[in-house]
Amino acid sequence: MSTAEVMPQNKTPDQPPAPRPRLEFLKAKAFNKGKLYLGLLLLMLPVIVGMALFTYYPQYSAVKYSFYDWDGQQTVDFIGWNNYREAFTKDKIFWPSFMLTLILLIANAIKMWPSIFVAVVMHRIRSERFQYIYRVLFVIPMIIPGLVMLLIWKSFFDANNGVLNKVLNGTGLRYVLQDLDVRLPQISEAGVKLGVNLHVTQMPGGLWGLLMIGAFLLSAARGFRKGVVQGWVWWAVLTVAGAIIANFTVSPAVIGNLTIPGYCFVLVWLGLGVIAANIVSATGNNGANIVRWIGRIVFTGALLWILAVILWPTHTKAFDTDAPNWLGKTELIIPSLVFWGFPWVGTVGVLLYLAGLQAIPLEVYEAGELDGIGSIGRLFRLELPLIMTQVRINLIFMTIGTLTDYGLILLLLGAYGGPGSKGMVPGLYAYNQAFIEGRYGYACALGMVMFVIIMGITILYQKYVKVDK
Amino acid sequence: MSDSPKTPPGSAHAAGLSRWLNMNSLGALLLTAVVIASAWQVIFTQRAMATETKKVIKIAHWQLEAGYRQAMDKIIAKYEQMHPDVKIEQVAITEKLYSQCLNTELISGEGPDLTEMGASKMTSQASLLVRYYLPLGELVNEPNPYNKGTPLEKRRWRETLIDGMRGGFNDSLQEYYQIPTAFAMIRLYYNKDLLRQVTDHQDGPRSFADFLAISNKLKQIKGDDNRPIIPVVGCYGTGNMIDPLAVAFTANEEANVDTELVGSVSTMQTYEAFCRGKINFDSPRIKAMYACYRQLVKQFANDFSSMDRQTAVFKFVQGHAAMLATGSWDATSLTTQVKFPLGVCQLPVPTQDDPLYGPYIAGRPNEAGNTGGVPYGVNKASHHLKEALDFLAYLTSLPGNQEFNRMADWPPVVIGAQPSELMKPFMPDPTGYTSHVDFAYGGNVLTVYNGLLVQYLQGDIDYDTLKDGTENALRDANQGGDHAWAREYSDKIKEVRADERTLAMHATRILMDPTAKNADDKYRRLLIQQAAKNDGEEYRYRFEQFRGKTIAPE
Amino acid sequence: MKQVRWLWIAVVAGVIGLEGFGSATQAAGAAPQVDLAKAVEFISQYDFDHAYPMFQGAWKARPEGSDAWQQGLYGAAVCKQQMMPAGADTKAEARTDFTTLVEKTPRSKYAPRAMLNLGRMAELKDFHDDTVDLNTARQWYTKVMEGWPDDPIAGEAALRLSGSYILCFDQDNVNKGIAILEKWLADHPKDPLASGMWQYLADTYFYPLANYKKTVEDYKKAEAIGWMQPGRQGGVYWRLAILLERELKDPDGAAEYYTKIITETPTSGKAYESQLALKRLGKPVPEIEIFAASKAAKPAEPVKP
Repeated sequence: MSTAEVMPQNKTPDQPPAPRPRLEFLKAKAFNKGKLYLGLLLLMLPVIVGMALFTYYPQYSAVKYSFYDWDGQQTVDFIGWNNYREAFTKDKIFWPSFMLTLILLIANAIKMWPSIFVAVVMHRIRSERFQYIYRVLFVIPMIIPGLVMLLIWKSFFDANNGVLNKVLNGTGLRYVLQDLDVRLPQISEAGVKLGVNLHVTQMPGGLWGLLMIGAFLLSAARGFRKGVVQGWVWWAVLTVAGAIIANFTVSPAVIGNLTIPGYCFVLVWLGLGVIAANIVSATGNNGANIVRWIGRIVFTGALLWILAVILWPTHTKAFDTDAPNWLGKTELIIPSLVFWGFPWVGTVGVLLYLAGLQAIPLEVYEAGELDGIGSIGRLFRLELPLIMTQVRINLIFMTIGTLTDYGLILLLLGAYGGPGSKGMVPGLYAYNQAFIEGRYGYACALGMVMFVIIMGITILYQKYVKVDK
Repeated sequence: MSDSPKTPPGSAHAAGLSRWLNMNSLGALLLTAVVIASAWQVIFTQRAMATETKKVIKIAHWQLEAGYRQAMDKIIAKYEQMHPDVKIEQVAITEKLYSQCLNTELISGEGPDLTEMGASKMTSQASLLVRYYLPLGELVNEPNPYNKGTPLEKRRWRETLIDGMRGGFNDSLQEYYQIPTAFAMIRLYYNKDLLRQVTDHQDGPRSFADFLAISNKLKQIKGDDNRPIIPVVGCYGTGNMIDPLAVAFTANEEANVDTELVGSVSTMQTYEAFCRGKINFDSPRIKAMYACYRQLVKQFANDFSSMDRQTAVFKFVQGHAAMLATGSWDATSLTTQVKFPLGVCQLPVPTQDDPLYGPYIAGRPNEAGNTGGVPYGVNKASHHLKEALDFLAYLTSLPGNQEFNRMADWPPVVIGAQPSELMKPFMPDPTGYTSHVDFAYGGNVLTVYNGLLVQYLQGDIDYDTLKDGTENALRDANQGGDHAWAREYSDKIKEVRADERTLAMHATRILMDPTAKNADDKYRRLLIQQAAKNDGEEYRYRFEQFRGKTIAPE
Repeated sequence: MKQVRWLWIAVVAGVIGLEGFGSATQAAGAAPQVDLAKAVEFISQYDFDHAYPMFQGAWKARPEGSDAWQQGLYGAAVCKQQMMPAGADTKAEARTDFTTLVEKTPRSKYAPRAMLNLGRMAELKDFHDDTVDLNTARQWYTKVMEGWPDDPIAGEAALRLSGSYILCFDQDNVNKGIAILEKWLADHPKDPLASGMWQYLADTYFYPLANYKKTVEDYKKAEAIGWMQPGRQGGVYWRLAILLERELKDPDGAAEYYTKIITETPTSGKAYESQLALKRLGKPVPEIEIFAASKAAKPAEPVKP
């Protein structure tokens, strides 16, 4: 048998297939893509429909009703921007309620770190078996519903039978707190007197002005290099935020009168910082080092001084009995909300960071060993920078959660935020306006304002919390 | 010849088995078993329902307190004996989920025949009420057949209830949509054993001064947790015990404040009187009232402001607290849980004989105006309307209501129905006053006032700080009393418009629906009610009179 | 490939089918045999949105002037008037529809109600930026009174007309409003709304006019006819008793009403204070019986039905 008989006469094995006409080709290509898209779409359809119905439609509804005077029942009246106007110009409770949120935000940012450290410790456990056991132990508490956790914590705070007071009394820590309740207000008073005697409080911005001097000196020491603006923005944001907190928590006479002329001090110090930066650029590196050290001393000193004055300014007498009223005493409400969740090791956070740590290649550790960095160096120079993605994700979720959450406060303190409404946060206020006052439209508008604020902060995080690979 | 390695005998079968016996297949098996069991349950239930020869009606409520469901079972059994062709099923749902369950079932058309009204929008919003519930006006204007042979035989059904069935009347619809079945009252429960240690009588505090004396002595006793006994706790904070004090002290201000002579004092009237200088925090009576509040609250636990209902009951049941202020709905739960003899008495309120507060006192609050609670409505889509209405008639007849509430240990709502021994102290007391002054006018003022009040009651701030804070909040140009007045003005205008919708509905039915019964009567009653509101303009005029400036609705 | 092609065809056919079905349903809804009874049922449930297209379809499909046409037009106008949220456009449309009905069928049974509704739309502020035009409202009310003098709707119009003056709350307008209603009642003493009208007049004499003598007189006239909401007159009795005692210095008159509070409205909340008042006036004090029955020494025997 010849090969001609075996193989078709009009085709040789080496010839490519005949080219198809263009239209046919395009149709087939589109059809194949369409087939792929249709399949994907059909698989995603239930999720899309569910999200549209249960997530996006309610959001759209909230936006729509923020422009209405709506009592939650039949009466619906279009009132345009009136709700927003009221929120921005008349409401005396909404904006101050952000103060507590800001404090909780700072506290929660600090409370993220125990999870990171625990994850690092778990990551360094050599035995895989023990690592697995600890991971399981961390996951088990997740089965407890959030509401049950809150109720358990509420019982912890019980003045007479709560675990917290029993521990404080049993360990003698209550006496330590009682002592601090006497001494720290004395230190605060001394700090105020010192500020008055040194005429610091008469400076623009008072003690905050001193902090700003330090901040701008530190920034100026970096000179006019590319990227220096970012540093200045952060210092400015942090110190102005702190000034605003102080303005609402401590008497202006102590910290410095933050009236409109007071706020203009920002421009004064900005100007001084610019001048300092010019001088530094002209003097070279030595000048920069001197300015940097001065900035560090001034900034740290001012920060400690401010903390001493605002942290514990009054003698609360809360620890004079063996049953401190954590949720009933005005001065103890913020500490209670900050302390909630101790030891602040969240399961989700630990697992997230652990996953990030386990993704770090061994070569990186080997390179570090070769460079001679110890275990502390490994933590701050290798592990932390390489899990910043996870930290950023957690930071965003933490911020959103802190800004929107009010369930904890509603359960612990009630719809009015407890004594003196000290526990009032924006979410609780919106809840109050909706379900107690019956002003659903206004509550939607408050929700929209919070949404814009949260979005702004998220954008800041995206821009400035960078992953340093 | 095959190159594959030799496999031991029997191992091919084992390999096949182990391939199937893994976690995935076990999971699939479990899922399949659950689906089959669920489907079987549904099919079985539906088949049972289809072959059921009796008329099945469902009654749904959220009263999970001890005793209620058992009493309902018994009264249902009694009714079924009288009506062997009827089967009644009780559906008890926790209050937190009641609204969702009811909403879903009503919308689907498969809702219970009788439902407890109140927890859901479906049972209160006018447009939803008319859609899902049967209007009962015609029926309640006839005698209740189950009252035959009793002194109430000839009275209209609605006139046989102590509150005249006001608890079942919807003002905006001018119609009855529900019928109350019991009263719900607040009293002071006390631990007789503990009180015996400090008093020579066992009938609870006889007066406010007696209450204070008892409380002071109780604080000297240590409980089994080695902590001082808490004299009193409240299921709903201190409010239940403070509210009666407000009436006792300020009922006499009615003559000063109630310029409309309606027999009660609203926060709006209080604000007007405050602005006119007729009443304020400098009044000796008001000062005495707040001093009395503080004295009362000193008898509570120091964490009273954060104590929730469950903790309060727990402390009382465990013997750590001697007295508990809560409602009649907790009576059966408490009697089953406590290990000491339980007493019930009125909440202590100063009288005119009180050594300290007597000169300021009018009298205790009266409960004659309380409306009946635990009302039930009839689902329009019920397949057995006649039977559902009949059972409701039985439940609210003199014999039925008496028997049911005696078994459940709830206060009965029908005239002449005798309560159980435990419930005797809970029956409404018609002696006393109704009005009280309330400075917390408006949402924002209320928020500020509530925060300050707790601090004042705890002793963290003094009376002047409470006074200044509240008065500043009232006087605030943007969010004080004027703002609250503008909102009430706006709300009144909306109310008039809501009435207009109802009137339009009735008028359309009168014109187009020949079956519309009593629409004329309802229309006329609502028309007069709406006309009397004068489009809300009275609020504007009143404001101009005492503030000297005009106001616009917000 | 072939199966996927068929799947595509099936999806497209399904979508076209659904669209067609929907349109057919809508078309069927717009057919002349529309169920107006269903539309009325929607209105009885406050569902003006669903009722509107049914009424709209009916009046567009029916011959002008026919009963069904009037019914459809009136129903559509009411729906537009009462839909939420209200706005200038819906109100204008309602106004147009009611005006058309009045112009085309001036003597129909719907016409006076339509005129009243036009008056109500002028009087009420239906949305945030709406304006109130009392003069126009009064014109419509007057037209109803003049056009149907013997119909009960004229009484309603009189009440509305009177109210449109009284709500101004200045002396002149209030007196004008009172005069209108008093004249109406003098001419139509048996008006179905008479009791409520006297009560409204009494309320007005009380506030803002503070004419307590007339207040008491008019309440008594309402009482003589019979209260519009029997069992809920406790508040009125209290006002009467206080006015008679304090302002008109008529202790016997006051005692009569304190006694009525106890006997007729014992659950109004003022029964005890009425007892105290009767003691103060030296008059006989009845018991509050409704609660006494529940405090009987022995429980009543349950009667077997």
